[in-house]
Amino acid sequence: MLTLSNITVELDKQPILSLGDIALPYGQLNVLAGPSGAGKSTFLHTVSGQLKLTQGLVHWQGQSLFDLNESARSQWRSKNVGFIFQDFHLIPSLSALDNVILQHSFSHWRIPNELRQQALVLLKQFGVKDVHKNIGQFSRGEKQRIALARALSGSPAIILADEPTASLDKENAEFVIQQLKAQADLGKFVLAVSHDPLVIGQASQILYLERGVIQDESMDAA
Amino acid sequence: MNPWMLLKAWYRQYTWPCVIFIALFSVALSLGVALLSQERAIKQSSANVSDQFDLIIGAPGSKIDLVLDIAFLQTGFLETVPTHVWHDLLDDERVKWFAPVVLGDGYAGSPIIGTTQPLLASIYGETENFPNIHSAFVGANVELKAGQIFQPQHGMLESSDEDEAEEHTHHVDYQVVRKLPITGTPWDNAILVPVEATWAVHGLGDGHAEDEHEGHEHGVHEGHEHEKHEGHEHEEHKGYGYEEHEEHDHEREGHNEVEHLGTFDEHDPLKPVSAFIVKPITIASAYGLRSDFSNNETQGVFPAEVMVTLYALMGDARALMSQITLICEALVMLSLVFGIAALFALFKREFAILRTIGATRSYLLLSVWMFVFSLMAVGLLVGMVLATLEVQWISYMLSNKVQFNIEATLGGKDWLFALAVLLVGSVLALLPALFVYRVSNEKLMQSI
Repeated sequence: MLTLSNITVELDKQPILSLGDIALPYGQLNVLAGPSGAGKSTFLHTVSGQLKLTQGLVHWQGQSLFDLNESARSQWRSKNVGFIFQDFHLIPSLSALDNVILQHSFSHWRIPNELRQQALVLLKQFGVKDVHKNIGQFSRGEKQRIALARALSGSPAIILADEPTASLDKENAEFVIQQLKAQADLGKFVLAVSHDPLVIGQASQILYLERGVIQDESMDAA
Repeated sequence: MNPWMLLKAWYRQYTWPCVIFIALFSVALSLGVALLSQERAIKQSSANVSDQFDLIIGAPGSKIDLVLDIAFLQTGFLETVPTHVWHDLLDDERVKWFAPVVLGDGYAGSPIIGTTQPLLASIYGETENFPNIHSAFVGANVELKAGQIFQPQHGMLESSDEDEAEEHTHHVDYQVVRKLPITGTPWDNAILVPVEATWAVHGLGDGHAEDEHEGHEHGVHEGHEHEKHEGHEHEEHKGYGYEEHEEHDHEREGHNEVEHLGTFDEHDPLKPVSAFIVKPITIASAYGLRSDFSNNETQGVFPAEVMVTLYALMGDARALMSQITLICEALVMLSLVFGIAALFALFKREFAILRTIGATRSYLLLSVWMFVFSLMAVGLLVGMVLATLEVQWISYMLSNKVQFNIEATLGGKDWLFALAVLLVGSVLALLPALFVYRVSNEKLMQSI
């Protein structure tokens, strides 16, 4: 369970996120919706421990995230969180495989073979054929599949996705949603920031954010 | 943590900036190293030249000029040494050998030096004496071949004007009898002739007593102008038949000058010379001779001592040069490092992504530092290769210019200098790394 308690985040002394008590469970697709500039990405950066809280608490499975120092939060993120971005944010001069395993070089001198094998399996599973090709040579759909493989590499318990389908065609968008659902079905925590009706339509729980404040919360939209 | 994968990505991503960085760094480093190496080589090579001469006795004046003119054959103006000095040296038991040096004439840019056999033996290891007064031994770099005949010119004429050249030409012939081995000194550019010849060319006679000529068999005397002047007061025409505007017969078979040339005694009417090169028997003798010949008529000079004085002056300049070079290197590195920092500032988003997916600040710090440092390390290796080539090229150019061999090679000191530059670079490489390290997450997150 992700539990947020009385959160305030300020940027240049201006509140950009102001949340009451929120609890989001593992094992379902959670969606955060809202207009542009509402603070959706800030929400993701906050719950992943990247932005400092002005006040409040973030608990993951009972552990207070901000009790960890910044370096420990980075390591926690590397081990427990998989990120998916709207623009994929892959390293253009690395191959598909290297992009997937790069994050493991943060904590390993030599990347363990099982992580490398897992990356290969994920890429194959997602239909990425030539894993040694540079990112620039892949289509947008393939890039998002590679980004998805990166997010799932190392089997993190938390998947945070920021507009994962916004730049994809319907076929690729459905594939991504399907994979997010599958991860949720595996008991992982999945939270997608999106205003894509396809994603919202599959959500178990939806939070509606506007001007940094939760306006609405609905259950079992799917 | 292992930043190699990220480094590999950056090398590919910023290939041209990397190449430019390495090129600028290596060129700056190589110039610094080459400069210092060359300075050391000049010092060493000039020391090698001056070490060939234990003691030089010349007329009073600048010691540096005397050493430069005699040891390095720079064509300056030297007062002549009084003739009695020759007799004094002949009688001095502290002298192992000595040889006169008479400067003044030249041919095609090479100085003509009047001297005696001991100098040939000392500098070139030449065991033979001049076979006759018209003979010339030439240094390895002189563009004359054995058998060639040439006419000396007064002074070191550089003009290509034929009339001027004709005006300065002594119309007497020298014939090259031997090419001397390479010494790597300015003496490779010298033309050596019997000291008697240099006097005779200038109408001073040959420095030998009249009766001595009669007592020797000089084939060259017979049938030449010498007989014509017998009994006259014209000393300048006495001797070996040297007379300007005269056709000489170079076929001098059977003459016996070789036993005579360069051999003088107290009765000989010796003529002035530019300086004497003296080989003392012992170190104590050297100091004694220097002292005795340092008076109002002459000065005794140890070339090595004069060079030490010069090096002391150069030493201050060298220290300053080293510091300036190091500062220049640091400035080049600083500008390059700021260039890299500016480059990274453009890629803030990439750092934001890396932080988001779990890279710690220290991982990014290490990555950026290693990236800049690795470029510097490659620049160092390339720079040292370039420095080796530059040193060889500059040595070649300088050797041609100064007419002695300057052999510069990169040594331990140069590598130490390069490593010092790399050490400074490794500290400077922290600047962009700290820049990336210190950027707040809040600012980074705004870029994604």
